[in-house]
Amino acid sequence: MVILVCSIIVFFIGFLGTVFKKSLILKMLSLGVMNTGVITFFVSLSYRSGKMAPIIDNSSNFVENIADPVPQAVIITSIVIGFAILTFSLVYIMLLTVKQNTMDVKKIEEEIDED
Amino acid sequence: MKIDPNFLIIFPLLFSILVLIFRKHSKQIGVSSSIINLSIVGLLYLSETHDFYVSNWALKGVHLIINSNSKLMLLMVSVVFLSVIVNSLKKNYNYNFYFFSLVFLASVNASMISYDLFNIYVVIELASLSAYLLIGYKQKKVQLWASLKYLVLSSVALNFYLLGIGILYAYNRTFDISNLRIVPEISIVFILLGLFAKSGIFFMSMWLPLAHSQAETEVSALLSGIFVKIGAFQIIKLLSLNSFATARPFVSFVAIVSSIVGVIYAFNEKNSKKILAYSTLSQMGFVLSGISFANILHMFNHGIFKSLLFLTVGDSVEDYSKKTIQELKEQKIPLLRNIALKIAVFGIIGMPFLSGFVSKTMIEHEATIMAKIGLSIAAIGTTATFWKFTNFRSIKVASMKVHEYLGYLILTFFIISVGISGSSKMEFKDILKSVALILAGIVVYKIFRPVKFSKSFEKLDNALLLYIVFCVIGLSFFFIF
Repeated sequence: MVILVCSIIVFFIGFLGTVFKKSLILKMLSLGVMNTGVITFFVSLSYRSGKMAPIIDNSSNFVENIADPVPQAVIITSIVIGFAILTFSLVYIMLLTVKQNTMDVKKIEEEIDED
Repeated sequence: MKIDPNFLIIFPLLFSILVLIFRKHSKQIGVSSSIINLSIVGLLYLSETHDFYVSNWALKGVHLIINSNSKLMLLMVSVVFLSVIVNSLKKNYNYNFYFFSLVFLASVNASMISYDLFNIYVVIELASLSAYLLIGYKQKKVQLWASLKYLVLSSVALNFYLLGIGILYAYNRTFDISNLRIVPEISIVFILLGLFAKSGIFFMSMWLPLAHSQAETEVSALLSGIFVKIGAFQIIKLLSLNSFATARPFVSFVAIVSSIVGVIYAFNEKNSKKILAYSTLSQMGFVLSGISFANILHMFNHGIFKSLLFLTVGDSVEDYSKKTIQELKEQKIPLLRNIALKIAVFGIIGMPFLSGFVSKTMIEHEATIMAKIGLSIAAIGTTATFWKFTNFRSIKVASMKVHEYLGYLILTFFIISVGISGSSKMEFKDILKSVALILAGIVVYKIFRPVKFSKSFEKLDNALLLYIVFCVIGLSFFFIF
């Protein structure tokens, strides 16, 4: 339960980081923190029903005391996607800063003329 | 003839790998794969409803359902995709474009038939990744920025979605949409936040105007025709459940606000592709104002005529490198393109016997009184906005090449055929009403002149702050009602 609450706090810390940080790189890193919060949330969800690994052996009490396998299995995909988004965005930030010479979001938005 | 629905996902992915192997023939592979996709969808359209799990071990796998709604969406996706690919043949796109658009097609197809919340997250992310790459295709400064802005906004929103489905899993022990029983309000707010950001609702998807107006012509057509429909279709899918019934008035309220504000911004905009982008925000408000068949049909129609508008206007912008509507009017555009543009415009403003008329009338029949007033205002605004596009002058081209206009022709066929087949059920009263709305729109167009509005909430930080505002409004809505 403590981990559950902590993961949601981490999630919102990451979200506030994406809103209030001015540098694009820091924004992306806050996004990573946010993603970590969600991953911890899912892992702690599967931890609620028990602490044993969900592997079938001949011991008697494996049904009562196993961790739920589904959330931790699916969240691996989210880890991979978060990794892909982070690396991809860093490449685009690099291409943009070569042309723009700044990483400050406000300066970029002022300098890029839309029309 | 029986056909496996998994082909919808396998074939585009297979062809995308073929594009990477035979890079010189990427155009031919692109066309043939979109034709094969259309024929698979056609065969599925004729067969009965599918309802199955991808794998059947001890745990049930991903639940896929192909019902009449998703058949209609799949048809729209395949038709728009085919015409976009046909239109791209006359330009020199390289293999990257075809590779990413085929991956995009596979993930969109998957998202239309998936009934598993986590699977929907994965395919939406995959479609988004290919969309980011397609938006930044030419690597201009502004395209890179549009792509990055979209990336930040969309990833934040999808993390909220993930948190929402996590909470749903804690209560229901399943990700299957058809087995959801207990749905806490906070998870509805988080899930709606994620899906609204994808589906082009004003104040929630402020990435849309920049990305749609700065991307290449074909990419904007793909984004506006297909991509914003993914989120909207998931919202309608979820709201059809009884456990989500409490969220219906909230969603239709947000949608109607979006349809009015979007059309005000569209009317006051000068950049021609941005007008279309704001109009997408407004039309998605029409789509999400209810959950009936009429809304699905409007989604179908909007996909068709908005991608036709983006193709015709975008091609003219590319030909003359003039962006504002005033500068474009001074040029002469080819006759057939002008006709296609006019049909698309008449479709979107709801001219009788064209497709927009059918779905807009059906939506209005099922709306409440307040929703009817809001949607009528939005319909008048749409006419006022798009009347600017009707007085382009045309020029006769000496040597006409059919393949340059084939993409337009496919889409035009669907606008007219849906319009004529649907209009037979309409009464004379409905026709009079839509003509009155169009006339009112023309009067508004003549009287009002565009003024400049503040666009400060399109800035990245403010768009992210709007997410917090949405959470607060959504939670307080559920507490009050």
